[in-house]
Amino acid sequence: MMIKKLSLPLFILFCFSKSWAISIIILRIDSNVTFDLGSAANFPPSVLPAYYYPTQASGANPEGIRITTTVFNFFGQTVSNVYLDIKGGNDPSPSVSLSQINWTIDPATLPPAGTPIPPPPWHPLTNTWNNVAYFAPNGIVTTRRYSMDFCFKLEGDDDPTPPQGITTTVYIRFYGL
Amino acid sequence: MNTLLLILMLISQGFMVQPDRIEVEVAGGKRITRKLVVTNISSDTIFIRVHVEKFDQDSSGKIIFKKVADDSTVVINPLEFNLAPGDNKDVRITLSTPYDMPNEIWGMIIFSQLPPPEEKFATIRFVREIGVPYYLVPLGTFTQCDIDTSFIRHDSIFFLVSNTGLRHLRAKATYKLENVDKKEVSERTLGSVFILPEHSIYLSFPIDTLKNGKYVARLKIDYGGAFAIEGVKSFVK
Repeated sequence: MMIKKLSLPLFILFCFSKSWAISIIILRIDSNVTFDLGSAANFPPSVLPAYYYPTQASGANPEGIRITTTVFNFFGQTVSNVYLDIKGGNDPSPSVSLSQINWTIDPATLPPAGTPIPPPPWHPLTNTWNNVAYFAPNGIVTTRRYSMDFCFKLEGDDDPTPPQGITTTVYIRFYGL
Repeated sequence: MNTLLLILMLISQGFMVQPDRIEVEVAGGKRITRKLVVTNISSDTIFIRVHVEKFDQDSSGKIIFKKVADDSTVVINPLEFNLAPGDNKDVRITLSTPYDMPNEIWGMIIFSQLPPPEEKFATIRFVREIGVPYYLVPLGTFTQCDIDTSFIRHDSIFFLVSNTGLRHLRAKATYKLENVDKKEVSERTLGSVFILPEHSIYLSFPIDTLKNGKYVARLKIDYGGAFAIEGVKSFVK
């Protein structure tokens, strides 16, 4: 009888102890991104460099992608802050460098043609990690959604794109500490 | 857990890893194994590759990843696999500690979801990565923290917060600014501050928008020690 009386509080204590903590970390990116300038408005441009939004992107964000990050913490927080980082891979082609692709998660307009360097909040892609956002999980479920826009900077010395297109890989990393 | 998975599949596409951290207090010369569960919560089959990276922290608190060619302290099994929609996979992580381990050993297990072949014509293909840090904490070590110095530069006040212990630190930080003339106090909770062992980071707070007057800035760090520590800086704007 005593065991029965004790079992419920002990079970509750066990559930809320750190040893029973369940933590899950989730990353979702809803689309890839394509710049098919042949089908873009204002192409060919009269002034260079010229800037273009993607011609094919997320249904939820036509200028790029939607990133969803979620942290589940059942019965006790484990990590402190969580971080979302971005890094580019290879140059898309010998004449098109990675830094010609720019990203932002803040509201921004397309830089006007002739602008030599896209102003903040645009960031050029680099092959080193850059932080996009971070937050402290709060409660059982913490979800943050980010609309990440991309724009392509067309320069005068860019070679014509081959029929199969040009490709680069972008790494998006989500982690806690 | 199945109900949770069903809810996640309804609300999300991507993948998930649990738990989000491995932290073990361990003696030198030991080997421990932990299981991480990777679940595909998207509607397509995904390909996952697993590797380990080291990381460091600069004085702004930014995490800097370093690829390691061969890390004999971590064994991952399996290193790559396919996952059908809704399926999960146990990945075993075996961590070994050297016999002489005065300091904490840490790193991050990276799970990379590689882009599917049909994306080969996209200009940007995304590799989705989830990192799970591991910390091997030497037995008998405890957290230590100090606020070394404070100064004003470029319209901001800086505090140098140091983790003087041999294990990583998660501290709660609170910044309080008092206008001595008007007896007004504003307080801001910074949430969690993470510092690697034997590392220091600067916490800065802008003062450019303050009105002229005498101020006292206080940074309180509660790192779980016997008592919280406080850094104080008086200044005239």
